[in-house]
Amino acid sequence: MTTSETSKRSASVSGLLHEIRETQSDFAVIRAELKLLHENVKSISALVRDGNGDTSILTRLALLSQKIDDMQRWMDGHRSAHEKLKNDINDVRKEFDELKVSQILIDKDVSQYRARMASEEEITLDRIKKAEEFAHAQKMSHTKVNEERQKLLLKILGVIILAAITFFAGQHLR
Amino acid sequence: MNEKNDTDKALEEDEEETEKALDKEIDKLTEDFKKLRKSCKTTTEALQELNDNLRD
Repeated sequence: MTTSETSKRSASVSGLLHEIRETQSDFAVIRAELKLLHENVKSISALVRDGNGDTSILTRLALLSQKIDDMQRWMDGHRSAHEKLKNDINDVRKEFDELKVSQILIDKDVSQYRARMASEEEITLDRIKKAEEFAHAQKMSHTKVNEERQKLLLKILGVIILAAITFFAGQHLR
Repeated sequence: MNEKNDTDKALEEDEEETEKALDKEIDKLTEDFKKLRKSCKTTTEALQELNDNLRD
């Protein structure tokens, strides 16, 4: 083995020893951190198990769990009531829709009835007007007939008077 | 005489092989320790972070 080989190996071994020592140092740091972690976990365990002058976290967790169960039960009950209410609302909505349809039909019937009434009123008014006109015409005709009758009577009376005068005059002259 | 020379030569060659293997092993060990130190550093950082969080 040459001198250069020996010094090269010496450097290699020296480097290896350096790495081993540094690794030891690193492990010491890890050990210290693990010790700290152990202390921290111990302290947390004590806090969880015994509390910190207050109720322990385990007890609090148990109480919270109980409360969550109660809330779950309440929500289940509430949910069924909510479902029932929802169904009722749907039923009411359906009935309302049906009523709306009925209302629309009634409005339509009322409109048709009003239109028919208006039409019938118009026809009635027209008939009344025609009846009034007919009555007026009849009245006028009656008056004219009376006048003609009076004239005729006067003529007949004149003829009778004339015939009577002629008769009496003939008698007197004889 | 020739036999002794052959034996010496064989021993010398064997010694050289052993030396080479030893050097190789030393280099490998050094590399492994370097890797181990890197792992140690990562582990230390993780532990420090964990302890910091637990302390807070």
